[in-house]
Parts: sequence; C-alpha cells; structure tokens
Amino acid sequence: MHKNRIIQANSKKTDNKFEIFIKNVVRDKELLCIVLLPFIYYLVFHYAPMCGIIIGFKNFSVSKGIFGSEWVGLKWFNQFFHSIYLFRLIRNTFLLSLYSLIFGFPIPILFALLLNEIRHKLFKSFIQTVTYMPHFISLVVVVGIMVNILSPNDGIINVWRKSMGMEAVNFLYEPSWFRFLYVSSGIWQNFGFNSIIYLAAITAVPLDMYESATIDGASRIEKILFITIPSILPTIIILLILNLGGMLSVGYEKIMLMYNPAVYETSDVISTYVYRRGVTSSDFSYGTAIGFFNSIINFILIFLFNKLSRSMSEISLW
Amino acid sequence: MKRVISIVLVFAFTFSVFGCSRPNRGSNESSSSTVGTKSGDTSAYEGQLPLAGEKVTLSFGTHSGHSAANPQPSNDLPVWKMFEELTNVHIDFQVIPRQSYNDVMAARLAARHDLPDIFIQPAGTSQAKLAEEGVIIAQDALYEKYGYYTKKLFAQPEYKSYLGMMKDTDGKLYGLSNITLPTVQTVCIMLNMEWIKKLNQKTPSTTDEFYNLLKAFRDKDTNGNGKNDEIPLTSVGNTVDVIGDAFGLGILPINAGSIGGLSLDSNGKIVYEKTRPEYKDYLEYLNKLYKEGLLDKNFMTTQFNKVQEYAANDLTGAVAYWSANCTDISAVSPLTTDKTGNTPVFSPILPLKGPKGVQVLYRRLGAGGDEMLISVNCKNKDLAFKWIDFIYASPQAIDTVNWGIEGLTYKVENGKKVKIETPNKLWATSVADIGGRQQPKSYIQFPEYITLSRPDWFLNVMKTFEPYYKDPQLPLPKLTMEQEQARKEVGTDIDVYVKEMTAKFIMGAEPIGNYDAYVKKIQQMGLDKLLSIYQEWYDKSVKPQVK
Repeated sequence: MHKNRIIQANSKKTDNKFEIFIKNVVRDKELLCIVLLPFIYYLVFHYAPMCGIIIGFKNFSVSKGIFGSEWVGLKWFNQFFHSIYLFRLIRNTFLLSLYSLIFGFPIPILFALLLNEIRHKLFKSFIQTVTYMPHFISLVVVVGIMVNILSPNDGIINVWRKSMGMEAVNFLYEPSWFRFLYVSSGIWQNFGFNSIIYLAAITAVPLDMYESATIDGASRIEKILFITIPSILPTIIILLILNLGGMLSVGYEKIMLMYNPAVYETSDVISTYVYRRGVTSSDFSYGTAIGFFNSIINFILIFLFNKLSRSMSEISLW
Repeated sequence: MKRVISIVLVFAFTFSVFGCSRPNRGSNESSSSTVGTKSGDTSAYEGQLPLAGEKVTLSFGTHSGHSAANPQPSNDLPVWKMFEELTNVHIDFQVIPRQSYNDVMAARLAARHDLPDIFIQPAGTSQAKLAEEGVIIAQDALYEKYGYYTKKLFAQPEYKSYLGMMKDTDGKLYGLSNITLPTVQTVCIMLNMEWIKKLNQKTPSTTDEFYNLLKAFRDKDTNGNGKNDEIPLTSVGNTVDVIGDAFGLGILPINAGSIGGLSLDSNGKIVYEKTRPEYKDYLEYLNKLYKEGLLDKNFMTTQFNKVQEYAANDLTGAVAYWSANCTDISAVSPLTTDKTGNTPVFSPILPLKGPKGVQVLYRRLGAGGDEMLISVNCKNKDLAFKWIDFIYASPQAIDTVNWGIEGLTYKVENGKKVKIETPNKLWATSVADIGGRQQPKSYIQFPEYITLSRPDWFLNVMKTFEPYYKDPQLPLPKLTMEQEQARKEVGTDIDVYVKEMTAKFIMGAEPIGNYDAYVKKIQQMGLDKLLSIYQEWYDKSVKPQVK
C-alpha cells in the first residue's frame, strides 16, 4: 500500500518501457508467483515439446536420437500427399468434425436454455446429473453398447425390424450410416457435460434485466431471445472458435473402435490412416509430420475465424 | 512481515511439487549377487539347480495369456511357486492384458524406460530394429554358453530347423519363440455334428456340398425354436479365409506374411495371392454365402466370445476357427451331454475340396510368437538366459507345465503318472488353473504331451488331416529396416484398398465383375515395386537355405 504509492511517486515521465515493465513485475509479484506454476507447466509440457516437430523432417530413429537422425526434408509430407486416399482422408476428417459441430454445437446451448426455464429444483438437478453422466462413461463402453444394439443378428433394433417383417440392416458395415452413428453417439455422450458452461453463463445474467423485460411485457420466448442469448453470446462465440480450431483433429480412438474395412470410405480419417501405417514399427517421423500438417490447418482455421469474428462483432479470442 | 510470509509460502507451495517423491521402481536390482553362478568358474554350464546362489529377482513383462479362461501368471499359482523354489529366481510379473499387450508394450519400448528384464516381444516390432535402438541384446553368446537344455532340444532332428527360423534378418538370435505342432492346432471348419444328425445329412467334402448344407441349416429351423435365427457359418475376424485353401490360396494371416498373402510361382517369383484369378472365385463364393444369409453378417468383427455365445444359444452350425477350440465350443453348447467337452458336438472337418479339385490345408508355420527378449538394462543377463533356458526346454519344466503338480493334477501309480480328473472340467483346464499349459512365455508343443490334454476323439480326427497338409511355401517375411520403409511407402495404400475392396466384393457392394479393374488399380498403385521388395528378401534369405 505505502510501498506502491512510493513506487508510483518515483516513476518519472522519462521512464523507458523496460523500467516500467520491471516496476509492474515488482508490484504484482504475488500474482505472478501464483501464475508461475501453470506457466512452467505450459512451457514444459506444451511449448517445449513443440521443438520435437523437427523429427517430422528427419528419419527419426530412437537409438540415434533427435540430433543424430538424418534429415529427409519433406519426404513424409510428400508420401502422404501422394497417397490416393489423401482427398478422402481429409474429406472424412473434415466432414466428421463439421457434422459434429453443426449438430453437436447448438444442442448443449438449447438444452441449457431449456433447463434454465425449469423451476422445480429437484427435477432440474436430476436431469442435469443424468445428462452429464454419459460423459464419464469410457468410450470403449459406449461403442460396445452401440455395437450390441446395432448387431444385425441379435441387436435390439434389428430384432424389432425383423419382427415387423423388415430386413435387418447391418449398420456398422454400411458406409452411409457411419457419420450419423459417430456424430449422434458423440452428442448423446457429451451434450449434458457441454451444457454446463452455458448454464454457468446464463446464471450470470443479472436478474433485473428479466424484471425490466417483464415490466415491458416480454413473453418467455422473447426473454430468451433478447436477453439470455445476447448475454451468453460471448461465451458461445469463444467456444465456437475453439471448436473450429479442432476441425482437422478427429480423435482416432472412437473411430478405431467403430470402423472396419467395409466402411473405410466414410470412416477412415487422417489419424486412423497414420496409426495403421505406424503400427508395425514406431513410425514417429511420419506421425509427427502429419500431425504437424494437421496443426497448421487447424491454426489457420482458428486465425481466420477469429479475424472474422472480430470484424463482425467485438468478440474474439485475441 | 505478512507479505514476506505469504511470498515464502507461495514459493514453498510452488516448488514443493517438484520435490514429490518418485514412486518406487520395481526391485529388479536385487542386493544379492550371482557369485555362485557367475562365469568365473570355467566348468561348462549344465543347467544345475538352483540357478542362483541367493534369491534373485527378475522382472518379466508378459501378457495375460492366450486364453481368457486361464488364470493370469502370478506367483500364487502352484506351478510358478515350484519354479521359484527350484531355480531360486523370484519372478516379478508385469502382466498386461492380452488385448492391449502389443500397444502398451510397444509404447514402453519406445519410451525405453523402466523396461522389464525379460519381456515377450510385442507383435509387429522388429527384433533387429529394437537391437539397433539399444533396447534388447542379441542372445547368441548367451545361448552358446548357457543354452544347455535348449541346445539339447535343437539337437533333435525334428527341431533342428526351428533355431534358424527364430533368428532375425541379421542372422542373430534375439529370442526363443513358440514352437507349435502344425498338426494339432490349425484353423479349420468345425461343424455342428448334432445339427447334421438332426437333418440326416452327411459331412460335406466339397465347397458346393458345404454351401448346400449351410442352406439346409438356415431353412430347416435346425435349432427347433420356430424362428429363423440360425447363423449357419460364423468366423472370428479373418479366419473364414481358411476356405481360401480350397481355392489354392494361402491367405490366412498366420500363413500370410505382412501383406496378407504371398506365394511362389513355378519360376521362383513372388506372387500376390489377392490378385490371382483364384481369389476372384473365392470372393464370388463368399459373396454367395453372405448374400444368402449363410455367413455371419458381422464376419469381419466378431470376437471368439461372441461365437461361444452363439454356440451356447444353439444358433450356429459351423465355425471357422482354431481346431483345438472345438472342445470349448462343444462344452458350452446346450446339445452336449457332458461339460468337459468330451462329446464332439463341434468337430473339425477335413478341408473342403474346391471347384478345381484342390483339397489342402496350409500348414501353420512352426515357429513364431511370444519371443522372450532380454532388455539391455537387465542387470543379470546371464541368469536371465539361464532361467529362460530352464523354463523353455528343460525336461523338468516341460513336464511340470504339461502334467501339473503331483498330488494336484496327477498321481503316480506303479511308477506311471495318472491324471487326477475333476468332474465337469477338462483335465487340461485343471492344469491351466494351477499355472501350467499355455503360459505367457514361449511354449513348445511336444507330440507326447499333446495327447495328454486333448480328448481322444479330437486327436483321431486331427490324424485324418495328415494327408491334406501342405507346407507354406514361404516363412513369415522378415524385412530389414530399409526394406520395411520402402514397403510402407507403397504397401500402406494397397493394404487399405485390398481390405476395402475385399469387404465390398463379399458384401456385394461392389459387383464381382469389377475384379479386373481392381487388379489393375493395385498394379497402378505399385504392386510390382512391393513384390520386388519381397523378391529381394526371398532371393537373399530364403532361397539359399532351401537348397
């Protein structure tokens, strides 16, 4: 308190930027200490490993180490881009992400808005708990349940179909069903959990805004449309931009559990292709190179959408 | 003052995280020495027990076993307790579930950190590459010095060629592997004999007869429940490819090499099975089965436990899988008269004769799998190999593994071993339950012990297979690292294409008339280049030995 005033009193108009910086650091040292640990964490586990990207340009061999392995330049990128499946892989990766986004993004928002309207506290908590429980079920279990339900021999759906005189449908072997199954099971599993952040944003809306809206004669729908949604718009847009940044990174675990050669056409994505190629011997270099390619595309997307958002509204990540 | 204390506290909390104690590493460095058995003494090693003067601990990384029904390896099992007593070596088992073993162990190897002293080689890794990366050691010198029992084994004429098969592309021995008797355990078709009896049919001997039989299974409500729910033919993953033998194709993965099927033509040139005209005939046949509902619609993804479920619900008439599992399936079927699997509800049938009169069963390759590797970080390499040698090939260990322990699974009457049977359980299972039989280490199937664990009816059936066996023309390819990289460049896409098109042809999503276009595409994708890699391997490593 006294010290701060003394420091500020001592600063002269001729202080250069560096001195101002140091003075700020000294002033905020307690806060900086708190941030120190997460900062080190990010530095060590997220930024430092980025240097490992160079193995994507080398023929990495564990025994030779990073610096002993020879340079191969763009060899891995060339190989990947010459694959006849390049277009298909990118298309599948992109489409699965896009559909997940188009259908999976609005649902948590909608759900949060609806949940917010419920007055009965117990019922509301019950619904919340039940809907975000699937998020914690392991992916393996979710896919296992799906496989069982969809089995053409004895799965519930096909048993019902056969009893109605219809033919059984081999869902997991039909390329046209894959995207639907992938996206909808993902939505089922995650919408409850994803709605939590929107619920939090909604509860932050000051109540007197609703009161004044009631005085103005607004209906429930109008309140949602004109108060709630605009208030949580910043949250929505930030999350949208972040999700867009993950467009080219479809995780391979779920697809590996669900796919088989009959549906490669719509299910084979970049990560599964790279995984299959690398599975016979730790193909670190190839995997790194393609992962790097993924990241670049994702970064470009985030950058573009951020710019778009900034120009269209005041909201953006940076 | 308050501020100073708070600063100090914040720093203390921040840096206390770094001071967290590490979890205890496994105790694979024991305080005892191996002075008693060190190679300081110049007398030849003769496998004397105990292997170590004072108790030593070795860590052993392994999977949970080949059969989910058998217990996981652990020192609580009588057999392992006995081995520990005999050898004075305490094994610290690091067990990883079978399903994920390859991935988990490969990841650990890549991290090169905290590796067990001995571990089973995960499938898909290359021994020469691991050695080059400084992960494992070559065992040739250890074998020469301490391979007492193993040398005796390989001195026998029937086993002589196996040693060569276990060596890697660079001619060194990195690990002893499984040796399996091709004549007892092989992939084949197992037919539901009770269903045949019900329908008054006879065992099919050609692919056409088989087709008609499957149709009868489907149409005549063979399980008698009034519903049309029979699944005439089931398979586990690609085991249905055993039918390919009838078409003259060797495409089963165990015989197939890493691109799923290579063979040799009369000029000594490597040929890819899946572009031959015979493959088209085979796909046509499977397509016929699939579209008429005779083949399980999930044939590419069904697991064995699902097949057992079908058998238990009396839903299936034929299973394409490993012959020895017929006892398992028979035991769970409701049509069996005893639970020990001694009634042949499901019995292997002789290989089918294909449309061109080919009737063969490609013999399973004799050596491979579960190689026991020794890590570079093992502090007791001599002892590790001695232990491996003992467990793998000493008569005492083999006897224990197959017979179990006296008083528990056998007794001695008049100087001969006699089985102690338990009701409702296969005798072999009771041996497995105490840690014997197929353990997650390399195993060798000996003819004299095979008869112990399988019912007589099964052995008699398998004897009838003898005249039909055909040796695979090529061993599993072992490529050098450069060859492997070149193979991946071309082979990855071809692999995707072949798998996808095969699935489509069988399911009828792609008309079989487009087969020629399919072959052409594969050639365009660089099939010749791929085959030339294998040709190089063949000319260099295999051809000279065949002479």
